Amino acid sequence: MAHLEMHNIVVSFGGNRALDDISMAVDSGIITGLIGPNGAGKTTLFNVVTGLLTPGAGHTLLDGKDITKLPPHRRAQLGMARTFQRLELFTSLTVRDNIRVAGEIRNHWGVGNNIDVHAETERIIELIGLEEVADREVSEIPTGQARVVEVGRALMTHPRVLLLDEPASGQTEAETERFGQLLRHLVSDGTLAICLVEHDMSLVMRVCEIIHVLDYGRMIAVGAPDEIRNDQAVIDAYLGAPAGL
Amino acid sequence: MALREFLQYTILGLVTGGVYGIAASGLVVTYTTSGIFNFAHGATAMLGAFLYWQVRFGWGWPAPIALLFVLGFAAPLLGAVLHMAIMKGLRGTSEVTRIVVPISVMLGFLSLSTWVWNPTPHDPRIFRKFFGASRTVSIFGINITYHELLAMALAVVIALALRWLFYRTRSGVAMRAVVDDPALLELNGGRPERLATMSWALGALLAALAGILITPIQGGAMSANALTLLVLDAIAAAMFGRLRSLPRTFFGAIVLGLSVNYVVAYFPADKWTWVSNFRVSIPMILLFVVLLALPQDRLRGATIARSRERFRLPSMRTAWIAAVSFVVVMFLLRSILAPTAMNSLAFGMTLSIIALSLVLLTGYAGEINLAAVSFGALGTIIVFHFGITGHGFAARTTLFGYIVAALFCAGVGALVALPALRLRGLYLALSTMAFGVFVSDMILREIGDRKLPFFHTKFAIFPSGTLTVPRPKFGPFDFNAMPTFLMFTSVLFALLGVGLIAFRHSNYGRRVAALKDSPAAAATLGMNVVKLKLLVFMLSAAIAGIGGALMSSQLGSVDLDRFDIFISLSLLMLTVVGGIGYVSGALLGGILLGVGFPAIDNTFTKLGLDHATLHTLFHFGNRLTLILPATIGVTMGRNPSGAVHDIVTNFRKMAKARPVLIGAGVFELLLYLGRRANLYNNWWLLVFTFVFLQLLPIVAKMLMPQAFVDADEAARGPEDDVPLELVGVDRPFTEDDRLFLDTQLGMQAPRNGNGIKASAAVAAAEVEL
Repeated sequence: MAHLEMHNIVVSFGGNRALDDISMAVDSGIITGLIGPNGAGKTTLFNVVTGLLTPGAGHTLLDGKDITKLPPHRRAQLGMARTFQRLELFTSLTVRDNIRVAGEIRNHWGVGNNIDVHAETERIIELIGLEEVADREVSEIPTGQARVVEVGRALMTHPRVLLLDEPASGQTEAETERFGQLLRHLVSDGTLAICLVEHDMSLVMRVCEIIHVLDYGRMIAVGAPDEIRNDQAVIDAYLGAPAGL
Repeated sequence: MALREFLQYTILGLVTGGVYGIAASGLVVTYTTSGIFNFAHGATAMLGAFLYWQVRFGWGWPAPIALLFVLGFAAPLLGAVLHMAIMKGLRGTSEVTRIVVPISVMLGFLSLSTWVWNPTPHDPRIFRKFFGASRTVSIFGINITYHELLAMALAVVIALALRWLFYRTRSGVAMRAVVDDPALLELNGGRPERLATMSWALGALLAALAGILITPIQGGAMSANALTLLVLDAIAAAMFGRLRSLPRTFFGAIVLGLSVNYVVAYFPADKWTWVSNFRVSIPMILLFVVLLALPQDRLRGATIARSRERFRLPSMRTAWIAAVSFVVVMFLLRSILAPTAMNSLAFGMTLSIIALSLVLLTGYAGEINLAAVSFGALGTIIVFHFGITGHGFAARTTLFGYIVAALFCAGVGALVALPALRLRGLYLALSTMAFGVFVSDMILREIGDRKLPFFHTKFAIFPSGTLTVPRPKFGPFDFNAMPTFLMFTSVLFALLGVGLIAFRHSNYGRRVAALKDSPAAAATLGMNVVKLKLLVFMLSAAIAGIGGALMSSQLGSVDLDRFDIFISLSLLMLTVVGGIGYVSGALLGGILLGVGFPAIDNTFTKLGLDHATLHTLFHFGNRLTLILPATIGVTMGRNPSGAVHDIVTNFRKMAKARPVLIGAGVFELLLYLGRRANLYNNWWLLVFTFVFLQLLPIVAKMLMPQAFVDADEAARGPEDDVPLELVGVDRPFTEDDRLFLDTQLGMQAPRNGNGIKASAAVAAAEVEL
C-alpha cells in the first residue's frame, strides 16, 4: 500500500527548474532511497512534500488524500515527519527536551490519542541510543549525534511517513552501522514508510529496497540497488558524462 | 469649482507622495543591500533637515552650497559611518538585535537634535520653500509653487536614476546580489561590505533630501519627533513593494500622498472632529491593510546556525530564591529611602512589569512588540473607566478593573498581531509600531464626549486629556500608602517573574522555545505556529496592560505624553541592554528608564543650579545623559546577550565558593546597617555596593582559586575569538582545535583508529561547504 505519492511536481526558481515533473511513491514497510549529486533537488522535493515550499505544479498525496494545499503542521498531524539537512534543532533546549517537546507538540494537535510524553521520551532516547548525552545542551553535541536527535524528535510524533535528509553525514562508521540497523528496525513492523536522502552509498545500498536517482531536477533512474549500481545514466550523473555529449 | 479643488488636492497629493517615495526608496535600498531595516531612516531625514537649516538659515550660506554640503557630503558620510561603525557588526545576531540597534540609533539621533537645536514654541526652527512661497506656475489654473514642482521632478528623476543604477550599472547589480548571497558575491570578486556601505550612504542621502523637501510643505516649523516618524510613512509606502520593489514603493507613496490629501479635502472636519487625527493615522492604517494583503512568508528555519545571543534558564529553585531575596532587599531599602526616591523606585517597578511582557514575548518567543507602553495606555483607560470605586482621597482602583484591563489588552493584542503573525518578525514589529502611533495620535486624543450610536449615551475615551488613576485596593488590602505600594509592585513583579520562569519550564514554554529556535522544524512536527505566537502575544499584551495601569496609578494622573511611542522604544532598548532573556533584565530595564537616567539627569541639573560657575559643564553632562541610553543601546551589537547574562556568567563561576558568597552577603548587610546608622547616605551605599560587587569575583578568586578551575574550563572554547577558517592563519593551530574539529565532524580521535571514516567525513564536510 502506497503511503506517500508525488505526482508531476514542478518547482522553478526564476528560470531555473529545480524539479521537473517528478513523480515518486514511498511505501510503508520499506526504506526508499533518494540519491543524486548535490543540487539535484532532493531537499527541494522534501520541502514540497512537507509543505514548506509551494510547487508550481503537481500534487502530493498521503494515503490517497490530496495534501498539496495543506500547511506544514496539518501534514505533520496526518502522519508526516522529517529531519533537516541543515540541522534545525531547538538550540535553547537539551537533547532530552528536544525530543520531549516534539511529544508535547503532538499532544496539542487536538486530535486526541495523546501519548505519555515522559515514558515515550525515555523509550525514544534508548531506541536511538543517546542516553549518555540526553542532558547536554543540544548545541554542544557532535553533528553526527545531533542528526540522530532530529530522527528521535521526528519519531516522537509517531509518524507513518518519515523523510530523512542526509541523517548519516557527520556520523562515525560505527554510528552509521548502528543507524542502519535502527532504520531497518523502524520499518520492520510494516507500518512506517521511510524516504532516505543520503550520500553514504554503502548505507543506501545496504538498507534501501528501492532507489530513486535525481539529477538536475529530473528523475533519471528508479530501481533496486543492484540495478542502480549498474545504470549508465546514474554513473554518468555521478562521474560526469563522457566527452562529446 | 469642484474639479478645480480636486485638481488642487491631487497635485498636492502627488507632491507629498513624491517626497514619501524619495524617503521610502532610501529605506528599500538599505534594507535590500544590508538586510537591516533602518528604523533610524526618519531620524536621518530629521538630522539632515536640521543640518540644512543650520547652514542655510543659521549661518546664512547660499542655498546651492548648503544643499551641496548636506546632500553631497554630510548625509552620505553619516550613512557610511553608521554602516561601518554599527550596522556591519550585526551579522550573525538575531532579528531582535538587528531591530533594537537601529532603534537605539534613532533614539540617539533624537536626543542629539534636542541637544543641539531644541526647537521650542518661542524659538521655532522655520525654513521656507525653495524659491519662496510666492514663485508659482499655473497648471490647469492651479497655482503650484516652484518648490512643489521641484519635489515632484526630483521624485521622478530619483525613481528613474535608481532603476538605472540597479539594472544598468555594475555596482547596482552587485548591490542586488549582496542580498541574495554575500558569500557567493565575495567569491566572485564582489565586495559586499563596501557595497553595503555605499547603499547606506545613498539611503542617508535620500532620507536627508526627503526631510529637506517635506519640512516647508508641512508648514515649515521643524519638529524632531514628527520628522523622525516620517519613517512610518516611508514604511507604509515601502510595504507596497514588500520592502524590495522600487516601482511598487513609488506607487505606494503616491497612493499614500493622495489619500492624505483627499481626506483633508473631502472629510468634513467641522462635523467630524477626528479628521485631523485620522489624517495623521493614514500611513498606519494603510500599513495594516497592506499587511493583510501580503501572502504568507515561507517558514524560515534557524536563520543563523549559532546565534550569538545566549540565555541561561534558571531552575525553579533559583527563581524562588531570587524572588524572595529581591523582595527582602526592597523591604530593607524601603526604610532608608526618601519619599521622592521611593516614588521614582515604584515608578521604575511598574515599568519593569511592562518590561516583563517583553521578556515573555521577545526573550522567550523571539517576537517583537515596539508599543508595549501603548498597551499600558489601553490598560489605563480601561481601569479608569471600569475599575474605580470611591471618590476623592478615598478613590481606589479595583482588582476587577485590572482583570478587565488584562483581558481587553489581550483582545486588542490579538487584533494587532494577527495580520503580521504569519509574516516575518520584522512585520510584527512594524505593525506594533504603527499601532503605538495610532494609539497616541487617535485614541489618546479622544478627549471630548462622543455620542455612542447604539447606547444613546455620551462617552469620552480619554476625558479632557488627563486621567486621574488612584492606587489599587484589592478587597481588604489597601495599597494606597507609599511604602505599601512600592512593596506591592515589588511582590507583584517577583511573582510575575517566577510565573514567567515557571511558564518557560512548562510544556508551553518548551514549545515557545522550539518556535523561536526553528519555526520550520516546529511546523513540520505539527505545531500550529500562528496559534502559539498569538497566545504568547496576547499574554504579553495583558501583562503590559496591567503594568501600564499600575504605572498610571503610581503617577496619579497621566496625559498622552506618558504613553509616547519613544518611551516604548526606550524601554525595549534598555531591557535588551539588561538582557531580554532574563526576568532580571526586565528589572534592570525598567529601573534604568524609570530611576537611573532620570536620577543622573536630576543630579546634573541640581549640581548646575548649586554651582553656577560650572553651569556649562554640568549642562553638558546633563545633555550627555540624554544620549547615554542610546549610546549603550548601540553597543548591543557587540554584546547581544545583555548585561545580566555577563553578571550571571560571572557569578556562576563563584557558585562553588560558597563561604565567599556567604561572607559577601554578611558584608553587604553590614554596609546596609552602616547606612541605617547614618554613617553615610544612600549614594555612598550605592557606590560601596557597586564597587564591592565589581571586586567580589576577583577577591573570591584570590581566596578560593580551586573553586574556579571548572568554571574556567567550561567557559573556554577553541573558537571563541578567531573564526574557524582563520585558525592557523590568525593564530597557531593547537591540539584543542584538532579535538574540537574532530568532535564537530563526529570523528573519534585517531588513537582510537577509524582513520578511513574520518577522511570520508572530511570529504563530506567539504562537499557541504
